Amino acid sequence: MTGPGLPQAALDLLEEVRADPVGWPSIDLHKLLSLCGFTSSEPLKTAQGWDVPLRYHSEHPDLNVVLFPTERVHVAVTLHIVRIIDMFAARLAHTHGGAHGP
Amino acid sequence: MDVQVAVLADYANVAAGDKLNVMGIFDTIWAPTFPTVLPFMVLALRLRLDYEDGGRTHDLAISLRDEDGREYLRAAAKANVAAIEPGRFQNVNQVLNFAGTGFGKAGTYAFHIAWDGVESARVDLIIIEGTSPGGSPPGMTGTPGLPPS
Repeated sequence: MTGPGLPQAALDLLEEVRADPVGWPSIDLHKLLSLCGFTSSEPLKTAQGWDVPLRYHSEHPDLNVVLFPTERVHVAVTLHIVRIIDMFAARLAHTHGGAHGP
Repeated sequence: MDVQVAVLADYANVAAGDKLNVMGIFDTIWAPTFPTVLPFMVLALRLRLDYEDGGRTHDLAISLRDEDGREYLRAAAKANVAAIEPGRFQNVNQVLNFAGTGFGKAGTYAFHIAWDGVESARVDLIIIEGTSPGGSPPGMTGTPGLPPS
């Protein structure tokens, strides 16, 4: 599910990933998050020598993503990234006129 | 500041009205081989801020360490807290999605949450070599190419 608020380039790449989630490198998923407005912090240094950025959204500071680098991201990871973006898109849609309630 | 909720889970989100939804809280996972990758986990936090926390900028740091105290990763942020009236409080949610986290060995890991340099909460994650004795825990996947620790 996607809603208003995501730029077209993000929607296009999201649908491409959703249609065939196998074999994506993490750099492309980082690009997808970036197109959705998640900016990258300075790389987090890890004990195992990887540079892992934390991605955050300036207008949604409660939602953060840490995506570890791999040449071929496991399909389950890719699908989780898709789910995060779906959730984010749903939130944007709600922000654009949904009901609030206790 | 008081940590109201600090858990590892399969899924979490923040719904309208600043409601924190968390599903599938866990503390132990099994992996048949190492190195291994945990496709997804969420660290969900809900912090209660009181009058004395308001009108200031705070340092929030979250680090994942292994049982030897080695820092595995660290996320640091500045939290700008608006003024809070006396007798009032404010809750702040944080959802950190970890995707494709690699682990080189079994052991006890922990997320340490520090507020202004003081550890305020700890969330343990136990990783056991083998298969789950009952049902399907959060899935671990053996992934060639990750360096052992």
